[in-house]
Amino acid sequence: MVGRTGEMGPGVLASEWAPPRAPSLWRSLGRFVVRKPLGAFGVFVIVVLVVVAAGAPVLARYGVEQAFEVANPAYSPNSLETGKFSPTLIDTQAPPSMKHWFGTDNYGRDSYARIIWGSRRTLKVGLLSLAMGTAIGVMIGLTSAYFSGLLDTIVQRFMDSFQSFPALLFLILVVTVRAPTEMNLIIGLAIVSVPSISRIVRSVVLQTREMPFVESARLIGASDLRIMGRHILPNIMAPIIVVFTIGVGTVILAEAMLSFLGLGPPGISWGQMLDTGRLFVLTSPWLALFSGGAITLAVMAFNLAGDALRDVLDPRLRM
Amino acid sequence: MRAYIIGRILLNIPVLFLVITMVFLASHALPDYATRRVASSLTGATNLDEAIHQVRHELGMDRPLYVQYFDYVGDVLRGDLGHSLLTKRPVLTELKARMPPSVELGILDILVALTVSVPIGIISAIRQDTWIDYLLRFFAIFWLAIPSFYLAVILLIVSFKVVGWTPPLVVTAYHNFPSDPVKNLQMLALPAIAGGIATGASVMRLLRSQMLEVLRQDYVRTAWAKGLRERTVVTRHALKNAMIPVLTIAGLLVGALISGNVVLETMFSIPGMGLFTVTSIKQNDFPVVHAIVLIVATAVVFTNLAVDLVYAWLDPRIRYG
Repeated sequence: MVGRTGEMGPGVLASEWAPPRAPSLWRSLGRFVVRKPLGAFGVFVIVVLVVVAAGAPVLARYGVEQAFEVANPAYSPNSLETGKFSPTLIDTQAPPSMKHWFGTDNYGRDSYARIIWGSRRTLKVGLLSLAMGTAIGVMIGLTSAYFSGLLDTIVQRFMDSFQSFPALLFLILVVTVRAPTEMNLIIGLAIVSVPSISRIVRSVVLQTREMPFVESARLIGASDLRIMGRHILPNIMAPIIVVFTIGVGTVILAEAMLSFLGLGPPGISWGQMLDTGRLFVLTSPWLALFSGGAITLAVMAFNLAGDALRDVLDPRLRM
Repeated sequence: MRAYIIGRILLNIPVLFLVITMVFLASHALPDYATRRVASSLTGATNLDEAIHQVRHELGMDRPLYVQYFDYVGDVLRGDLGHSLLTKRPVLTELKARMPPSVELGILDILVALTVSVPIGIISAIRQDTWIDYLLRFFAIFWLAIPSFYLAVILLIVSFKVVGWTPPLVVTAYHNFPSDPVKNLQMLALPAIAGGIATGASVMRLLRSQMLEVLRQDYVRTAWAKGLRERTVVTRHALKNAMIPVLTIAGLLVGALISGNVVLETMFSIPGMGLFTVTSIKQNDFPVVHAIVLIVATAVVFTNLAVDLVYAWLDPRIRYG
């Protein structure tokens, strides 16, 4: 008899033994939620973010630049006095209501709609720049650690030096050198995230390199490229996923800071909304509160999810 | 020990050269975009190409690259960091006036961070796994996630609604602490608290885990066995050793502090270097921006070096390891 989990014992024929079934996806997910509630919350928020960004045309209720007007109570036809000659007024800085869930900003645009549309910039910049940075960082870390020696030392020195350059200052330099378009920002953020990614990949590869399966592959004549790509890389995916997730959180914060300072790409962005909102934060704080809250929530979600993934996949990566 | 010091200094020299080279590339070798911006806004030439030529010639950019590089390094080492395109005065002069508020904000930031994180880290460690530990750790996670500029917005709103007071929100003159402490703190207290709490959260997590490790050590157990009071054991024996790794973070924190400064100064209109950087970029005054980046990056490198040396002095295992 084969036990459901595959145990062997009296009554189980050796010829009938089968290895235990891997737990189903739902079971693993359920375990994750129970063991790491904060991480599950983070993953949930990330999923919501993706849904919101993708479904913005449907979920946003209004357009990005759509200004709203209300009837002018002081309207008197044929009057030429300011405040009286227009039948409608732009509905600026309105408090949250059923019509405007998050209120309106100083141009009468609906804040909720702008936050929903703004999520596209956040996700696009965050995911694309990290995807680029991870690709480059993994290549550098993998080759540097695999070949070791002088190449490794030089590359590591360079990475360490680059990392001592504060990221915001580097991004400021990028803004002075290239036009502040979205793509340039993505490339700049990718470059900034390369050193830390390559460092972690390098330390993991240094351990993986010594494992027996790598030596076996070499013995049967596999080329270096094949070993790196076919044997080492699949086994280091776990830490890569972890640094990717945490990195997205950091990059979202950086993009928000740059947009807040007014140095980011044109177009709607949560950081820029926070900048606008702070101008009238004392009289109508809703814009600042909601846009800042969105940024905080997104950053927190990616950080929590990344932390939980790291604890689950590889606690050795802890600081 | 001497070998260690020399080694650390030598290791940091290439970093300094990387910093200088990167700023040089950004300011002299790459800025097609920058010269175009400057040309379109600041010169009186009639067409854009002519303006660009004029700007490039003024800034000496039509010479070969290596000539420019040597000139640049020589200038930097002699303290000549260029002239502002707007006011035509040396950049260093412009910066001197604006450095005190930024430096003071940074110091206040660190003070707040230490005041917040050290007691909380200690309490959280010595009362591990009690409700107070969970409460403090929950707050730490929360504060860590909130960006300092959002925390500043919240504090501003709270202070306005509850106390009816706000710091000045337009650019006002900076009074340094000895001359007018009240006005000085009025301007800097709120941003310092916002920045300090955000920084303090990450310090607190590290301090807590270090304290937990130290409290398990044998020498601490000996102190307990000797019958010393909890306060003595913690402060005289455990804390000193737990603080050492926290010091290494100080180097990283300076970098984060500086970016936090830029944002907080912009938000509260504090006339410091951070705000100056942002306004200079918007006004296309690029020599100022490049000079600031160079100075700040160099300061970060030197801070890291100092932290390395202090760390080695405090922990003999490092110098001989």
